[in-house]
Amino acid sequence: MTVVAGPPLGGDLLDRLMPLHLRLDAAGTIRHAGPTLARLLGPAARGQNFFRRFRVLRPGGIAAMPGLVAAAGATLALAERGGRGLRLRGQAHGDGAGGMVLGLSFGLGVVEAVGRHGLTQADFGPNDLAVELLFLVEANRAVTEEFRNLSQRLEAARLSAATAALTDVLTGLANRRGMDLALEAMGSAAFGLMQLDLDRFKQVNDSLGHAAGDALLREVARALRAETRAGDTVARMGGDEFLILLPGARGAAELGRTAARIIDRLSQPIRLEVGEARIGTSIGMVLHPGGRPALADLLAAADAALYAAKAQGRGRAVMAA
Amino acid sequence: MHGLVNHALERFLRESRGEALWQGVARAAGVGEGFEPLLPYPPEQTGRIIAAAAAALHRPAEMILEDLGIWLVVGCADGRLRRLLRFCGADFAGFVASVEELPARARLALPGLDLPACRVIDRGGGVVLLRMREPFAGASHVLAGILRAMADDYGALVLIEAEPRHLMLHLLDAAHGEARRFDLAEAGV
Repeated sequence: MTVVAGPPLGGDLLDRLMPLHLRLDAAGTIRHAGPTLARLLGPAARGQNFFRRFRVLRPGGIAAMPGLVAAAGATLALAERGGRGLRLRGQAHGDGAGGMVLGLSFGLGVVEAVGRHGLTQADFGPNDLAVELLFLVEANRAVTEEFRNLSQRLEAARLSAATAALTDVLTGLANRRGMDLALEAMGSAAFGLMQLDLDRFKQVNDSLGHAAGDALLREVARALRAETRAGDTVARMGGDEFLILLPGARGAAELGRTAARIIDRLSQPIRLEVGEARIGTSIGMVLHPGGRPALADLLAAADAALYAAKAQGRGRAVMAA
Repeated sequence: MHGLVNHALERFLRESRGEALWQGVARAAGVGEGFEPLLPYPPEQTGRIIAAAAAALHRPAEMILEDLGIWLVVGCADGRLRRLLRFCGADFAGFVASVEELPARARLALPGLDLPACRVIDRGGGVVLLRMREPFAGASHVLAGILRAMADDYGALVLIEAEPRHLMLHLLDAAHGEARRFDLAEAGV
């Protein structure tokens, strides 16, 4: 094999290709630093012993030139003692005269290093992908932020769709599905149920029109919410039928007082845009003392109580037997 | 088309021409009220938005697209895109050379984002021909806007002639004005 010797390499060649290199002589003295590294290390580095200025983190156990020479070609990790505390990685190779040339880079630490040391594009060698890495980090951050925004918008849409699925559009009360979930959520706790429908609702609808009927249902919903507690679930089950779930152990007397307030309130004339509506309500009540409820039985009992209340005349509340 | 492109058009029209104009354009183009930047949309929507914007603004589509290119650099997302573009070259000549890499960079940043490719042919003497390689209508005009804004950013004086399939760029003075400051490290992160 013939080796064709090129022209002698100019002293600034390494500076241009590898702005982060170091040249050590056989004694381990720093003879030269590439322009970027020279700036970061400061003028005192030149002539300083390499091992006094840097600790070789990897490979372990290298504290003098023979160790570094033996580690030629291995991946080096360096930490600067004092100064800026640079962390560098790279490789050392013999320069043919007993000294070593160290080609170094910041590795992934470049993301922090550019901010901390005020580095610019000109500080990196032409083959160093540091600037591309920084591009990627920033692009990635922007895209991640967009994904986060998208997730938040989707979550908000999901929540409002979920709420809408459990809500009666006309009154804003729970709907049948919402009531089912609230009943399921009771587990084996005690609760009371009230089933009610409106007296003379059909007449209001017929005489004042459907719009008035809708307005009336909204007024009734407002009244029911006002006469119940925040933790109670008021649902419109359809038409003019309502079901109220009252969690907690409540006696028949307490439930009766709540029912009486509702009956009293709904027997007052309700003012609508097109006139005044006079309705009333009858209520069937049932108490569940706790334990796994047989929901179908409880609902049937409330329904039967409501039927009994209506049989006694309007504006009555009856507790299921 | 990637939602990011439509989203950029939407933001550009909204922020530079007002909400009412965007609403009118969206209606005329038959697209929804807004685009999600990370979701895909039917490709023909982009062209319909541009045509509707041209009609609403009584301006040729080419001018609107060039304004979009400028806005992408100076007006969009707190200058975030400008920063990403500045990473592409240490000076304006370096930036122009890197335009060829833009689609690859875009894919690195956001897989699935396919930007129109372009060949950069250095004719020497500061004359660069940028030949659009894909029949993406209007891409050369957006690029012309981006190049104008970036030249300004680097402090370079350029003359740009935009044709539908290519751009001719004359770099008159690389250091005509002061380059805007660019720190590799993002502020406040």
